[in-house]
Amino acid sequence: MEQQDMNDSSCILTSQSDATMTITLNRPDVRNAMSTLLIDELERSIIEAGKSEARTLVIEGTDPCFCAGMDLKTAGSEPTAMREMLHGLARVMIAIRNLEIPVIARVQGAAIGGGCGLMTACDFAITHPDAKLGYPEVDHGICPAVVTPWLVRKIGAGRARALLLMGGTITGAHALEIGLVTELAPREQLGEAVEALVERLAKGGRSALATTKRWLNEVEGSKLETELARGADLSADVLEGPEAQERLARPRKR
Amino acid sequence: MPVILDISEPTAVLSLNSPDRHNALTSEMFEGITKALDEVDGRHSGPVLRINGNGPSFCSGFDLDVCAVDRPSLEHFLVELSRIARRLRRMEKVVIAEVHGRALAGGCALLTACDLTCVTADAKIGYPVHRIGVSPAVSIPTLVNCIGAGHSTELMLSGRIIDGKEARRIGLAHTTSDSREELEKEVDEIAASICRKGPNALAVTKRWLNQVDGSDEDGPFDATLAASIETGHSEEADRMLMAHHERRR
Repeated sequence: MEQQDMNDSSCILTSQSDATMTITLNRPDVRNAMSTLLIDELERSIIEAGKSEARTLVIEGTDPCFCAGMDLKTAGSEPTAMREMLHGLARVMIAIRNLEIPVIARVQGAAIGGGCGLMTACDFAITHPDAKLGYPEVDHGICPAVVTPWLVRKIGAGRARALLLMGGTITGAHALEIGLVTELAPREQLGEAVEALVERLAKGGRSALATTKRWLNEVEGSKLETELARGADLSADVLEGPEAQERLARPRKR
Repeated sequence: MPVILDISEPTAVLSLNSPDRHNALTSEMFEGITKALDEVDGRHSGPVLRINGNGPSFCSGFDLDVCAVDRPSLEHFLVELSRIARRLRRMEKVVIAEVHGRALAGGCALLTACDLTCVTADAKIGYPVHRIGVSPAVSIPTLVNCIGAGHSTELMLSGRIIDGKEARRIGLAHTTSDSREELEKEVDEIAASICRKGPNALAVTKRWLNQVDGSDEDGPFDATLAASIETGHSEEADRMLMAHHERRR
């Protein structure tokens, strides 16, 4: 039943059980921060999921958390690598959107910055009330431009504006109130909650779901892909500037 | 002085100041706001502008007694309101509305143009203007931007006045506080927190939000302003505004 394709050196694990494909971000020692390699593997796995028989895709992170964001260590030393990573994140978001099956984010612990962007791109996000979510980019002198186009469409322009300009993080409970996540469950029951949603989605007709998702994308507007690419460049520009570089060089609190 | 401005701190504070009139919007008030914003743009370097109202309310909207007696003033007020809404939305600073008491019609339009809105739980917010024959269309671009088409339609067509809690539920406000003192403290904290963030990152992020959500396009602002002006010139508005004025005398 359960097939695992576990390459030990890989920062992405994929497994398939019945009709569900699971992609696991797997850099637990850096809280699954996104590196160039992780993003490339993630994009490839998402596209693979679309070619498989899977009816749903679940994206999750190896404990302790879903994803702490972009690997900012790269940013300090190699700004051009960061630009590539940001474009990679934009492509991952587009791949999730173009995937014809529903995508569920299973979010434990934290989803920060680009990690929160990844969560936001998924069709569903299930988390627990005290999870730490959000976009603290402006705290570090960075602009969350690449996640903005999707966020504005998802939770509305007003709430996106407030969230991005206030920076910091919010709780899972607050995220549900503003529509950033779709469901809450106790942390130890996230798996069951995801399972229940997978079962519900499996009852829907495959092509009915695909058509609906395609039309939802259509309504959200054709500008999205260009905006994501422009957002990636804008984020990279700001990241390369003196304000961000100075702030990123500051000692970080954990 | 209809507007008091303090630019001595990293957070500039613009206080509407005609407390006896619930800070109703008049020519003098619009002029005061414009001058204050010029001053903020020219002489204040911090990243935050905070807008509040002295006295019992944030802002009760256009001074309708003026509109009834001096009919051309309604068009003038609409033009000014639209101009200031665009300006608040497009200025580089993060603009926080600190709202207690009434934020009605034009007053509500002002808060929708801000980036963040903090309210007291018992604030009175809405667009009760159809009963005077005036259309709040001018506020549509920023209202729909804040709360989406569904809630906007309900709020504008019903003319219903909602409290701060409901405003937060539908996304028109981002925080609620139980008293004016707590509201002040809440806004102090949020403003101080924003002042610690990267000013360049904030400015770029706001500019990008404006591009993505259409706030930097004049088309919708111009069209809705024209619609409100046209309605304001109607015989219906004449009759209903005057009747409102007579009732109040």
